[in-house]
Amino acid sequence: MKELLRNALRLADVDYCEIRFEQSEFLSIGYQGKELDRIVRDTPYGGNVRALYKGGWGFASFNSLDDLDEAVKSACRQARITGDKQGGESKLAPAPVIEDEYVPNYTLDPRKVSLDEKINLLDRYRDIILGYDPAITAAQITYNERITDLCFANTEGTYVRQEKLDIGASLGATARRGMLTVSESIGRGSSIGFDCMLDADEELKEACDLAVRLLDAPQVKAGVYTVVCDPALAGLFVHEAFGHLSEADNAYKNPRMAETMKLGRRLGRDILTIYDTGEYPENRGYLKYDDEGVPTRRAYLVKDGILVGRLHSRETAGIMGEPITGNARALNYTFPPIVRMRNTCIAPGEASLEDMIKDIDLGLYAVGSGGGQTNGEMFNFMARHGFMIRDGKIAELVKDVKLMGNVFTTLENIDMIGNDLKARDGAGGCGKGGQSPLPTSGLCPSIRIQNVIVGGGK
Amino acid sequence: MIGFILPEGVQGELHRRTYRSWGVSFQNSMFEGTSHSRNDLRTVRVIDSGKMSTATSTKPDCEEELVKTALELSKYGTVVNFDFPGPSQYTEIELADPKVAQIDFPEMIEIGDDLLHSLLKVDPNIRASASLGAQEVKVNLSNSNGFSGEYSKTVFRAGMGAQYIQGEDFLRFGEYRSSWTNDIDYEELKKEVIQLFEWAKEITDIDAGSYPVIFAPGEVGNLLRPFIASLNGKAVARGISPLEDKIGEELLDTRITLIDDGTLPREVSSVPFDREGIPTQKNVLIDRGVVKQILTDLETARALGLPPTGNGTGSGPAPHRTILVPGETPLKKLIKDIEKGLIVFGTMGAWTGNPYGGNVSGTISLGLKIEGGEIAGRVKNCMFSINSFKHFKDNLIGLSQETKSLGSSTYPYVVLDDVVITTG
Repeated sequence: MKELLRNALRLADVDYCEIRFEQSEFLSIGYQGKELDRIVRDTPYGGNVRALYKGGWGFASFNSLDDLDEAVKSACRQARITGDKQGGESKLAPAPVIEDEYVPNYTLDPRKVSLDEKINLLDRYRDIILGYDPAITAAQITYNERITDLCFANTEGTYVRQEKLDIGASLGATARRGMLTVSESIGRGSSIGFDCMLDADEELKEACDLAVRLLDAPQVKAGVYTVVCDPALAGLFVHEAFGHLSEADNAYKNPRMAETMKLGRRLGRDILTIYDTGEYPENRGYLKYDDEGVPTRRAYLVKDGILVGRLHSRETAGIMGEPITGNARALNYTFPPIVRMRNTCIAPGEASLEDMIKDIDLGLYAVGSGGGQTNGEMFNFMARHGFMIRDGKIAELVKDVKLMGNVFTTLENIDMIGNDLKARDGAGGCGKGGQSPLPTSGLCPSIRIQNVIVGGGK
Repeated sequence: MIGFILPEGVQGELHRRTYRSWGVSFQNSMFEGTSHSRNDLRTVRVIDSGKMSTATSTKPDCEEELVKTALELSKYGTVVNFDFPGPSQYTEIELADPKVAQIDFPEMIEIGDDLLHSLLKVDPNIRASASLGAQEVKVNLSNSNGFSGEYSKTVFRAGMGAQYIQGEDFLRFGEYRSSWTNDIDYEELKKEVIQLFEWAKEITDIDAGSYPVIFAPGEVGNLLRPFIASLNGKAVARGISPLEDKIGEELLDTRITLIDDGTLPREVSSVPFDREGIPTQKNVLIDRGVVKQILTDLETARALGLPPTGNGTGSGPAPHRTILVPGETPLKKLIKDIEKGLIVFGTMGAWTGNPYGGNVSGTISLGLKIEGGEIAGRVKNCMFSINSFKHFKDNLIGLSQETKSLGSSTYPYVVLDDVVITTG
């Protein structure tokens, strides 16, 4: 493969050219209701070529290696059209020339677990859900497993072949009474082994219990509250509220954004430190090399409350004159890499959960990650459920908990950070530029935020 | 016909989707690049001893391998009680315009340049974006019971928008159009986007409370999600739909008629037959407030004892084009009739959450205040909350006579009363 890609790159008559070729094995198993609902094996196979000329990009994807040479020529032709129109300069930050073949050190390679064993395990989880309470009418289980053999070569001499594992799963219960339907679930995920799927029984029973209790829980009352987010929701918060804003493709050709996000400005209190990293193979955002063949490194974004960095591709780093971070990622071979997060983390603090709630007269303890969205400045994120905090104590269960905020005021309003670091993994993923779901995760502690807008009933 | 041999007693189906897409993009007020993609995806489904499994690949000439994989998986497969359909007569629909294949990069770049500069003329501080894209799609479906069909489609898309940053205020706005051919009215697109910018430039505020709110067509899908999800045969068959036993009941305002239609010619979301070979049809889901129909595929139709509605996707039923029948009031009058309220063009997170409970809430990312029947600036840091089951029954003020087609939906503006607005 190495020689094949390198030979094709010799056809490139541009400033820079790269080829990605991937073969994946994807297994998806789903349960809806009482039975197995879906079993699919997918084997995506294909590649793409990206070419850069005078600052303009061309991109061509293909399915057959027979079409590789034509794809190189097509991408270069397109880059010339773009570059000639732009009349600019190709600026890629320098990256080390790498030659490496990498296979993760698996804790439990899912290929060594038979399909029988996987189905038996998921059947058991299904039985736990359906047997928990008569009010539970359906199990919702998703298990996705993808193993990718990805080869990358560029005209600078880098050749990286890496095997990547991504397991993402959700185990959930739906309870129904008349017109009222509620659900609760737990998430699992890993980049290193099937063992992430084991021993979920007790956590799953807790989710079932919550699903049943949510039938009687009121909708949270709309208002502005002090909110304590559990680690999973804090992970979603930092991803939506700040991670996307840190992606340098927002700012590299946008002087007003670059000014607003000028390094050195204060964004939060001294207790706040945020970083994004390719470390932590137990989580779904683990990455050894990004999709430009750049070794990933930990990128501090906020240190002691001060904005200190951002996430980069080689182009954004080159144009902004900042260090590369290894954040160029593509969902698959049909897309070019763009700036994306990996594992986005908040460094732990010292507060216990009890410390965080004890002086709140009326507030909300928001639990679990239910999805979110941002437009850069404002964000929205959903908890799986919540508990009101009354007079310093956890009180009644509430449902339909959605929170919103303005990133700049919300980061300033984080006034306590917990000591209970935990990862956020599940079946979903991050979406950007039509590339979804990309595996991401993060390690975060609980956080306390003042003045959070909570949507809900009257 | 199907192109591969199956063991006796096993049913098989081959679906092949090939596409070529190409496009140009402009970001940060400048030309960014071009792209050209091809993909050839084959999917085999088999039913062996009443169990169904699926294998897919983009590898060239992979049919035999896919059959082998699907047969290996089938012992674990989904228990199904249906057969793949036999030969059937479907009505061909005009969905492809050969002219789309002729649209090249220079033409797209010229259109994109024009879109971009129309915004920059309004305010050079805008960071404008535009994209143009074309796609040719060919679908073949055949099965071992004799069904064989194919169709071709073309899609052309154009979008434009911008980001306008003033300190810590980020205004994002934009619109897009899609069509089976390059007949997009760019002047209308530009006018609409520039009008949004003019309306949204000034910032105002609104107190927390309950207000009448106009939801633009692009946001109506979020409001209707509880109905569309609950009338999906899969949700009904799995016992999670609250509308399971409500067919025939008047649950909504009588002005609400919701239709799914995959048969419309020259529409990007139409197809002559669904992913399983069942001809598409017009499905009236809600007729003047009365819940009428559940969307089904082969599996859920069998499970529920209903006919298949031509909505199969291979992973449960889904609508083709959802149409909310418009009202008779011009948008201008709907705005004029509001003393104090909002018109919402963009939300975030309204798609999250459990749709079956009816609660829909989200952050208003682009919302304008209406005061004394006039647009009075952009509101920020607000959330809206409704319960669709309740609001479409008791709180519907009106539907506009104007509609907008957005990919797979055609919706009017919807005005609801008593929408909870939370603000910080």
